[in-house]
Amino acid sequence: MREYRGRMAGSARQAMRMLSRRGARAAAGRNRILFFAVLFCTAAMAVIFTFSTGRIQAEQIRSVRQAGTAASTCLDRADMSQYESIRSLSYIQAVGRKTYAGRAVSPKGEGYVCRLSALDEVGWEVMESPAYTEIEGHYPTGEQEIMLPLRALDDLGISRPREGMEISLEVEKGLFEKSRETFLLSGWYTDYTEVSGGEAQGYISVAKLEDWGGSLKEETELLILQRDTLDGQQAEERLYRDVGLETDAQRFTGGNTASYEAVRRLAGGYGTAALAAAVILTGMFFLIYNVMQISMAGDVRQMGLLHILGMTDAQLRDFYLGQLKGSVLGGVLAGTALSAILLLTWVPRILGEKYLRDWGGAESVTFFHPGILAACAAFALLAAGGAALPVILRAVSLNALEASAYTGGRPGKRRKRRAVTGEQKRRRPRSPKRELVFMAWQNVTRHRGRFLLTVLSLSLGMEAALGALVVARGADYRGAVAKRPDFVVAGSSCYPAEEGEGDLGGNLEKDPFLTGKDGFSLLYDNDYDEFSPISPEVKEQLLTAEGVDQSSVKLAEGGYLSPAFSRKGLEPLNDSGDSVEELEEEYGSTGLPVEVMLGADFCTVQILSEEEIQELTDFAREQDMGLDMDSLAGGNGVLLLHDHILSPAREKLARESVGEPITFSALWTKEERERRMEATQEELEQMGEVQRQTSQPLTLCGYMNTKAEGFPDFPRSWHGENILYFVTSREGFEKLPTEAKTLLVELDAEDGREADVQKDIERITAAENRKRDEAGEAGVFFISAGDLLEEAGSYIFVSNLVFAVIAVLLIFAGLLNYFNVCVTGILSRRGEFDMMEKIGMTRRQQRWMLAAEGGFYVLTAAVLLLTAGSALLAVLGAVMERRISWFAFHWPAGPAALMTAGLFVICLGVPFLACRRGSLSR
Amino acid sequence: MEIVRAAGLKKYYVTDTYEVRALDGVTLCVEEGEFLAVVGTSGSGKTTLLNLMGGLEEPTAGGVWIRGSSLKDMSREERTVFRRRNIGFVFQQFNLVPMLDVYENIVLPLRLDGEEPDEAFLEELVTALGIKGKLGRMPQTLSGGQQQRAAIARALVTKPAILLADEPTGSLDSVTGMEVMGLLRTCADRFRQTVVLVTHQEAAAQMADRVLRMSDGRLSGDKGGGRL
Repeated sequence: MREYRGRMAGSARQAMRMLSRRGARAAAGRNRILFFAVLFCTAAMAVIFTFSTGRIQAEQIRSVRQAGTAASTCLDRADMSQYESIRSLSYIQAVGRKTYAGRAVSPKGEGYVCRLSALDEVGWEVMESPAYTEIEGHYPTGEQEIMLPLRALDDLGISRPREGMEISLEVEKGLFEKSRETFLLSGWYTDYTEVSGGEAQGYISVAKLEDWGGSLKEETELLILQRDTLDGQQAEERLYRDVGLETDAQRFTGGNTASYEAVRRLAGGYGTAALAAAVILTGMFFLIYNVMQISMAGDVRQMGLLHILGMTDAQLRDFYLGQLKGSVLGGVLAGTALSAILLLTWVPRILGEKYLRDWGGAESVTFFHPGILAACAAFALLAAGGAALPVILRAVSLNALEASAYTGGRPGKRRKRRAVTGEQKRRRPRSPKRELVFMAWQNVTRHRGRFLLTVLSLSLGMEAALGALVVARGADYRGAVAKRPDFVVAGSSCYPAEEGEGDLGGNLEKDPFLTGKDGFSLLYDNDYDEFSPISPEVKEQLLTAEGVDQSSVKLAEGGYLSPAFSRKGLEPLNDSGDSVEELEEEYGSTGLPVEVMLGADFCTVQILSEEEIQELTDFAREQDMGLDMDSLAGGNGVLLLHDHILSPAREKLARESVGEPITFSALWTKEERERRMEATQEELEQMGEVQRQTSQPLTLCGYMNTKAEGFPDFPRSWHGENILYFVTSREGFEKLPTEAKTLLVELDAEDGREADVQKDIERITAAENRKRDEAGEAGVFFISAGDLLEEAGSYIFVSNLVFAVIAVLLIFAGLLNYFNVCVTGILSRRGEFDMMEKIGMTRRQQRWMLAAEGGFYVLTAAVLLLTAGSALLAVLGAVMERRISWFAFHWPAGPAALMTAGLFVICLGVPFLACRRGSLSR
Repeated sequence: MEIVRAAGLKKYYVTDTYEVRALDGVTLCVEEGEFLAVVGTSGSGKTTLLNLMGGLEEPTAGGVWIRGSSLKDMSREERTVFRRRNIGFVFQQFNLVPMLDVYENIVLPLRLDGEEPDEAFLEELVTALGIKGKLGRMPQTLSGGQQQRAAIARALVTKPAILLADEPTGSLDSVTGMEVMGLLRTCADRFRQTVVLVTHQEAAAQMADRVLRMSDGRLSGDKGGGRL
């Protein structure tokens, strides 16, 4: 015997290892498929989740840099007790403190270089510094230290800043309080709010703030970052509930965190993102599971035999797992390596360079997350283990004999056959082809559970891919642009060019006419009744320009006036802390109306069409707002639209103000204005008060929050927290003491005429601006959807690419899953095919039978997709439409048809190829 | 010396609609070195008897003792290990492990126990069975008779208390079948091996020392075999 010892090893463990290796070799075909399934699963998950994480991170950074802060919610005029109270809340991540100190005046004489504020540590480290890049130096600590953005230094003529260099600044600390100070530059940074129209922000030390009479402990602004899974509205509601406010004047302004927004833009929210992740993981699991399932019967029989020969359950488990170990571990390692290479080389180039090009680049965005890679590898291992488990459990749950004879059904469970009558015994003869189809049907349904599970997994894979396509197409940023009119022409606000108002700055969700200005700044030198943002001549030219789609033209018409409220009507706007009555008593001697004290002495009144009023009425009714919409529709009232400026307490006051009288006075005439501007004090006293026409009292129909979900969309001119914005009917406007002016024009170009129309608009606005420049009037500007698309080009490209990659990977996973099912099935049934050939079935017939089996799988999966799958896609679309304003659902008929066709190609192609390679026989 | 004892063995298969009494109270003893044949038609319960004696199934009632150890009192794992060390099986379908060669198939039960084969005994065994020159071949390259001889070698390599053979010649032609039966008998004599053979072939049963007949799950008649 010594001359032949075989290849057996000397111990039980070594024997097991050897057995496992042999088993793996014998099942080489299946194990190769398993290897590639695990490889693909690991790599695909790593790429999908890293892409998604990278995109979320990049979006987060973009949001924070665009906004100039990471804070999502804030509370103004807060004190330390409120600060401590908010800090202790479980749903709050961080709270920082910020106090506005003043503004640095531009040395050029007009405007400001930047705002100046002081922050506490959290305010700087957590809230504001993440919005900056290339930070040099440190946050000011010494009393005379200052930290400024590079663009402010540029305005000051400093191109090479140095730490410690002296900077002399004129600082405006209050309305009329200015002083010149010499600061020491402690640091500088690059900010990005200029792109989105924000004012530059500089920082002074807390010591300096206190020297100027300010404090971080009182009347400070709290910068709040809530939990990422909480949206802004929920955060606001909870904060109002949990934190005591000193006065009704205080309010929380809630917004979504950057992370929440990023997840919302990618997947509609955390809930849908989690669901999508679960679907993807389930699909990947089935990719591996199906490989093991198809070969399960043979594996169980083999283990049954070994059990008879004396292998214990533990040894059977080790034997089976040992067979798979090589393929699974190899697949995981190879998948991890492949995804690491992709994520370290190709992905950063795509996402980083293009995505954050205008926002400081992507150095801080990591596209290689070892944690995600490890998690994906672990999941693939778990999935393989989970897929192996049913096989092992089946083998050990049966006795050795049952296992050795296992064919796939549950032993002892026989399907009840319908009793056949004598007549039914005479079966209709079947043609050979029908016989093949009949056999195919019997084969696929002989193990119903497995058939359904396989079909379900196929459908899930296809559904996941189609879902990704639905989201990709629907959330395409081009949709955001498509929702906008091709062109919007409007009057400029006072400082549009400097402060970027009207410029979307690459943020297509931004409202271009949202401004922080008040009415005074809005019109400034043009605050006279005759002023029209868009002159009648310009309007005429725009409307008659060649190529304009006349049916698309929308005008916002109205005027600028001074409102006079009743006390009750004015109370909701009163954030002074005193009542209106008290203010009247305090400031009555100045002769100025209380509206002036509250910044409510100027307003825009826009005319709405009947349809628009009806939409608002329906909205008010749905929300149960308790507004007097009848007066609005009847031409007897005005409705005040606000941008979420009321706290719950003031909302209550607003409800109580419904029905209060309100009058409007015209602005002074241009002539009167010029006369008074040039008059001396004495002359002014002689002139007395400005005589202005005042309307009869109209009804204040109430206050409506434009930020409420579902608020109807219609064109509005400049609006914001500090501008009172009323709407009324045409009939109502005719009761006001001013002529209607054109505030805004929206229009589309006829198909293919966009470039021509844009040229015309450029010519018209340029000519108008030259005229207005000479006359000292504010000009006009326009926003072109085409330009927006071009600006957002790289962002759109990358966004679509991310979704496209995810969708392609999922489609491939679905097809691969089916391919594995086909191939593994063929490999595990070779004995059966041999036997069938022996009894006379040709190879060709076997191919057709296999193709028919595959066809049943594909057809069933396709039916499932068309029915339940379509309903799920529709639900997904509905959810996304609620989360993303521009989302448009398109049923992915084309991709679905292509995928189904792909599956049919596989189901026909695999048997054909297997036959040619001789894989149908042992 | 009594090697195997079965007492009051019953095996009923019960479903919702029917009850099959595969064994209905079987009692028997097998002495050491005895070659016992159990003969019966298809469905008589003889294979079920063998499976119960081999610990492959659990009886509905009654028990089996091998070398005084009760199979009923063992856990599944204990039974498996006991079977590996004390019971050899020969099947109608040979049931060699297709990915192992003949030598590896033969010594597999020993390897599972972490033991080395007794080389001298192994040589004697494979020589007696006429497969010495086939040890490096894979089972699928052997004829049916050669495969069955390899299976017999595997069953005997652990020197089991009992060798259970379930229709060992069922898949072989008559000539080969008789050859295999002859070898089985020779090995039983040579190694003083206790054998229980189950068959429907009278001719094969004639090789045994004692023949028992089974019918409808019961033993009937205890006749001596052709060899006694």
